[in-house]
Amino acid sequence: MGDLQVAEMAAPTWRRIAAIQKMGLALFLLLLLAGLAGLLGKGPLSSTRAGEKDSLLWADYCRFVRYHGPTEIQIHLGAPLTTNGLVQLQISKEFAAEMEIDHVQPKPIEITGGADSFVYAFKVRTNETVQITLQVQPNHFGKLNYQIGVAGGPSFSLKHFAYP
Amino acid sequence: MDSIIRGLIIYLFLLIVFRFAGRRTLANTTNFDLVLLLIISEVTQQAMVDNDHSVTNGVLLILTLVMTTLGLSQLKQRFPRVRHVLEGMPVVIVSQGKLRRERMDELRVDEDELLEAARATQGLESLQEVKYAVVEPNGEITIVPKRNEKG
Repeated sequence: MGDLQVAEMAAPTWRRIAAIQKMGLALFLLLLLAGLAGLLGKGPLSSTRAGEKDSLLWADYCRFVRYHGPTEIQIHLGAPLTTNGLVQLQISKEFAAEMEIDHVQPKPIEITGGADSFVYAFKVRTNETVQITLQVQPNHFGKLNYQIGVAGGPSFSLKHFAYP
Repeated sequence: MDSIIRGLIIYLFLLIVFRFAGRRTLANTTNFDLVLLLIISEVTQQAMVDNDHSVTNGVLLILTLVMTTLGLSQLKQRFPRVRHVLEGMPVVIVSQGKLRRERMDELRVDEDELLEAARATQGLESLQEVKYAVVEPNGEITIVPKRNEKG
């Protein structure tokens, strides 16, 4: 290039690198779109439900969560599951290993541990539906799987995938 | 999804704040400006990351910031008007050796700063040697000396 002393990149190499850069940017854009859609955490494609809405027991939660990232599980219990102003939520021991509980709303009046599960007792109004919110953080990444139910009643399994 | 939206909101907010604050806000960084920048970055980081310290959140936030910058630079390249709105345009504060006080006051540039730029970039001794001075969109002052008169 005239008298200019410069170690310039050869045109084919430059074109190859530009093409690779474009592919990288397209990949980044796809990742962002996946994030917006909820494939990498909270979002429309992540929100899911266990059980039938307005049934005796159902829960709303995110199927894609992040390691040590806050997430919420909303458990809805039908009125027939409350007895003597009490409802007992049974959570499998795997839950304690896989999730760290930050906050439970409403506050349980008692927590008891059994051989393979914990039971959280809540004081509630009889004949009213109850919503229990668990604010949790995954303790490790990968597949998470545990059972939640009512002591002596229905239960379901919740499955998440936790990203690092 | 929420981390991308948080990242976008913070990005746009910072863009607006620094656009409104003016181009000269951080042009000459003093010690206090540096501390202020560090505090702003700390507050920004807390607002963006929230309680989610996962790698995925970090990756998404970085991608959001980088891709937004790239997107805006594409827009600026295609539409000069967008560049003018986002970055502003050069402002001539000395024209044919005459100071334009109103513009200097608006941009918070005083004679001392003008002289400093003239000394630093052109080695000029006085304002009489300055033909043009322009505050560029990045806040720097560029000086065009009266070369012919100087000989």
